[in-house]
Amino acid sequence: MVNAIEIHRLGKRFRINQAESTGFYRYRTLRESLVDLASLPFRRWRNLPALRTNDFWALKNVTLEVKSGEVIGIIGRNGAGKSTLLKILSRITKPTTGEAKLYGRVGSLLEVGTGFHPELTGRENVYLNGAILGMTRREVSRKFDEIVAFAGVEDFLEIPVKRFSSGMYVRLAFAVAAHLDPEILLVDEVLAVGDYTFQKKCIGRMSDIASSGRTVLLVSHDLPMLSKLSTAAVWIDQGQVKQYGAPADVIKSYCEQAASCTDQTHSVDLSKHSGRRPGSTPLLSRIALYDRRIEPTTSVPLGGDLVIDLELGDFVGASDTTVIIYICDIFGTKLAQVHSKIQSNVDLKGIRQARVRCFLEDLRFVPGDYTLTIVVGDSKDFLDTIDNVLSFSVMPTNIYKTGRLPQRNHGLVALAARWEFDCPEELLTMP
Amino acid sequence: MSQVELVNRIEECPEPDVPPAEKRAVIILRPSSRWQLINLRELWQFRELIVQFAWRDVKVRYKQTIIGAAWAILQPALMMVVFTICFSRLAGVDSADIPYPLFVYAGLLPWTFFASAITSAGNSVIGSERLITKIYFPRLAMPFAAVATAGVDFLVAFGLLVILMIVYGVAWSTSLLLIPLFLGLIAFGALGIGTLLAALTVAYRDFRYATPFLVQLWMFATPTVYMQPGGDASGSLQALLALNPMTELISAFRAAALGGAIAWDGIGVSCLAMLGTFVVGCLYFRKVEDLFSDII
Repeated sequence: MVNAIEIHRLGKRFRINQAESTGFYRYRTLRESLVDLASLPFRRWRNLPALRTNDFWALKNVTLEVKSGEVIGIIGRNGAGKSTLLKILSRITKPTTGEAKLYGRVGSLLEVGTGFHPELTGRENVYLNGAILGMTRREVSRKFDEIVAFAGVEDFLEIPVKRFSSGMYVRLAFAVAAHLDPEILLVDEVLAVGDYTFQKKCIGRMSDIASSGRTVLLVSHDLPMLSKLSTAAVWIDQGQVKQYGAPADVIKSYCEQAASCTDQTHSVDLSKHSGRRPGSTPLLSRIALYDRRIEPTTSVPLGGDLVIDLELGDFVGASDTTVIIYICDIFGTKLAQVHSKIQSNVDLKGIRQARVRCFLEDLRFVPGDYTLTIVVGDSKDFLDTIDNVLSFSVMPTNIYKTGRLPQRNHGLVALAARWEFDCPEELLTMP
Repeated sequence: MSQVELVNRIEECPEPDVPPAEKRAVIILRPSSRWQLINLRELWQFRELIVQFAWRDVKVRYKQTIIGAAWAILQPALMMVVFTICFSRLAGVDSADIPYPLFVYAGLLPWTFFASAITSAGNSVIGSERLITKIYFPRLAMPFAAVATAGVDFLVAFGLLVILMIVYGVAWSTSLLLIPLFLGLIAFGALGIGTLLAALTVAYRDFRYATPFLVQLWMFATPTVYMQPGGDASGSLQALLALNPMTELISAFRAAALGGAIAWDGIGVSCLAMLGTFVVGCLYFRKVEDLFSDII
């Protein structure tokens, strides 16, 4: 088989300035640019670094070859660089280093319904979306009936899509993209939408595309789906290819590492932590986990308590200094956050050799591994952020006193629930 | 899956229809180079997208309005009334032999086209943030489509000019045939300036606020609502007006419609200025378009 995609030492650098990296995006004004431009010769001359910029490599040295007809599943934590890779391959953004060659027409579906205009009817949107994806009017006309039948919106073609249900909207949008017939199709986590029947239809369509010799690159967190659909998988971690091979192998080692990558020790030195986000001021110096008797621990029984103990260095700032803790699952999805200001109403005006303890009581996440991300911020900025500092396990316990245990596939949270049955007593059997 | 089903499935499997390697189109992605000219071939491939974008904006603009596309006529028509009252009746502005309402409408019509073209082209890229960050297409399609949309409004409003000409009994002449030429030149200038503004607005939102104001100033620096001062006007004012490439084009448009002398040498200078703007606008746009998705 011939190569469909050749990627050679691809890298992407983002320049973030301090304010931007914290999520408070600030547009540059013309005045700032002019000042920068005017001071450029002086800075060059005095060999000073560029102002306020911090480099962040979203992708580093990615080298990859994909054969025609393959379905490649791309996995990795949130922020690992998966979407950046797809964005470069679909020509939305340029690489900073390296090179990629794509043989044939590329179709990308990074978000369902991009380019749909709410005021236009279903029919008009099919043509508009087709044109945006690079189809000619004639091509869309030829496939129009097929697209509409695939989406199942025959009766709603003359209605503005703003009146569509979200399901109809998604179905129509995917249908257009799926009929693009590209030689290379790039798909980013879009199948999470739509109902089960439609998801199956989409997966079927993608394997059809692949079996006709075309190539599909697919980013997804749905590991079971990926292992069924893809012929190979790529695991991207911190902007680099960690593993490339048979889907089952890659998924297995990804899951293993995701559970253990973060230190499963009860205490970690944070003064020089590799997970610290660029632009952070190192304020956090140590984290430790304890159980309810303040004994060091790395696991909590379901329904038990966890004490997160943080040590911070000196810092005096504006009021509203807060500590935020994210609890994420092994895929990096944030499940919950606790926030010192919200839960305690205490307003810190800074920190001096402080020790902050957060008591998480009655932790009801289903048994499994979880990671913690810590943020120290003030009212405007995130001052210090460290991703995945620690992981801990939630152990199954007989929380319902029934001897039956909540499991991973029961969702994320084991709720405290009570049942009442209003019926004749003889119909109920109780131990 | 039974044996029979399996066989059927295999037979149904279409033959790989990917062309052999040497015939396939190759897209090479590399770090951005410094300056690039317009990729006309690609823009031509996506010509339908420009049409679709323009058509989308035309259709959407007057959705859920009562009088619909009549707004395209109403805006310059009301401006005409306002200027007629202010300038002709109150200030007594001279409009030669031409009735002032007709005179001012023939100036406002191409100006409104130009002004709305550059304003909407300037906002076209930041208005499509979702598209820019999620899909690839030649980014130039956005400002170009915005100019085309303004062109559709122009055509609607042009109808009123024809009616006014009939009402005031303007003599039809062959110079009417020059209207498409001057309109084309104005559109060309709008493409250049609109493209430049679109790229600048992405990086510097200042332009979002500055553009409408500058456009208004520019209107008063252009003889849209008053006569172009003759040779006897003061020298410095004359020189200032000559620097404005729109001066000659608006005057020429009006002369082509209503009769009068066309200053061809002035138009030649305007053409060069517009060509320069177009090249600079497109070069700058192409230089920074790679950054759009990162900084928008």
